Amino acid sequence: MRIVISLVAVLYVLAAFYGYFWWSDRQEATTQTQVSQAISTAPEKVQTEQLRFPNVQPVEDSSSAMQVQLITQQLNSMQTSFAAQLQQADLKQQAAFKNLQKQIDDLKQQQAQGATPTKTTEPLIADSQPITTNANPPSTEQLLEAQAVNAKQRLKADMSQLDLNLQAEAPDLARQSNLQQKVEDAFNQAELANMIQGRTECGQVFCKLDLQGQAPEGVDVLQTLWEQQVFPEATEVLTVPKSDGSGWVVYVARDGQSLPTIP
Amino acid sequence: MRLVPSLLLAATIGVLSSGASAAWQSIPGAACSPQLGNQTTQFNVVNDTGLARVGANSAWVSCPIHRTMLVRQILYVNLNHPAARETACKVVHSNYFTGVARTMVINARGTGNVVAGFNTSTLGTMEAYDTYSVSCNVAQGTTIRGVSWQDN
Repeated sequence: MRIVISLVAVLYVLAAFYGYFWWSDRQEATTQTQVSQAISTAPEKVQTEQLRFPNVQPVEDSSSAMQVQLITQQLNSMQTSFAAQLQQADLKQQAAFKNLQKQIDDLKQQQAQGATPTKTTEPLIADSQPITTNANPPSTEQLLEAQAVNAKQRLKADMSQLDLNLQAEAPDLARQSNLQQKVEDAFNQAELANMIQGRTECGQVFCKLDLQGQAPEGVDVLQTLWEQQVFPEATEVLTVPKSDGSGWVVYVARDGQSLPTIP
Repeated sequence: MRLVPSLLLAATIGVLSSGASAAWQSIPGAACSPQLGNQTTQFNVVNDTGLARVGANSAWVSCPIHRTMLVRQILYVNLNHPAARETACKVVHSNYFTGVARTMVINARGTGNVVAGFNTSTLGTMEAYDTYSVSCNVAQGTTIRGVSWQDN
């Protein structure tokens, strides 16, 4: 009898524990549902993303079409400026490349001539300075101007060398007289004798013809000399315009020979 | 077995690339024109390939070389002589920076198709802004067939 009563008591205790745990679980589930509902019903706050491009201004919240148009315009302007910058950089790079190519060619030519190192280094340094040492790369026009200045300096030096060679040689008076006569006849024939005067000096290797004066517009003085067969056949001629525009200096190689090489 | 086709492919690419480096440019004689405007009527264009002198005596004819086409090595002027004669042709290399013009003259001699060949390296290296021009002193009956040059 006592055993039966004990069993019933144990069953009651178990039922009480089970009821308590069931009630406890139910209370916890109800609280979580209420919290999640409170979160989901909170007003959503949208944060606008900051664009990385500094030039882009925030668009006013008017209409979507207007926004798209403004963004398109801004993108187009950015694309245009970027393309212009690229083109400018490309031009600078091409100018630098041409300058380098010219220096290489000059070096090759001077090497072929066996020029002294002191002569080669000066223009090279002057050429390379605008490219390498300047923090702001010079424009294409500046590079071309620098190259023109260098080329004219080299030409002046080379012409001085040719003149020195001419003075050092014994004059070829027969050839000098012949060429002088041809030049005068050519200018008389072309009716340019009153406008242009020619003075000839001849050495053993080449002649120098100094032309002074201005021809009428449309008349090519040098082509006139070619047409009047002033220059001997199978020869080489170097024509240098005077810097002040007052005429030309023409170097004519002896028949069948070449002029002394100048860069 | 894969080695042989690979070697053949490499050899083909090498041959093609070396051939591409030797670029030739040319212009027909019909592209040439007399240097004096009043002599225009004294020339005839021959089938779009040549320019023939029909007037008496001789006249200088200039053949244009486009500025962007660099002249680096050899330049040929192709002529046709109706009889044994010689034609003087000149090549002028003008330096952009100084205005210096260096001219070389060569005579093409013989009968029929003759060629005047210029080694332009003696005229100095052609730079990007430099100009080249070719002109010949053409006598009656002579035809300029064209000009060709190597541009690398």
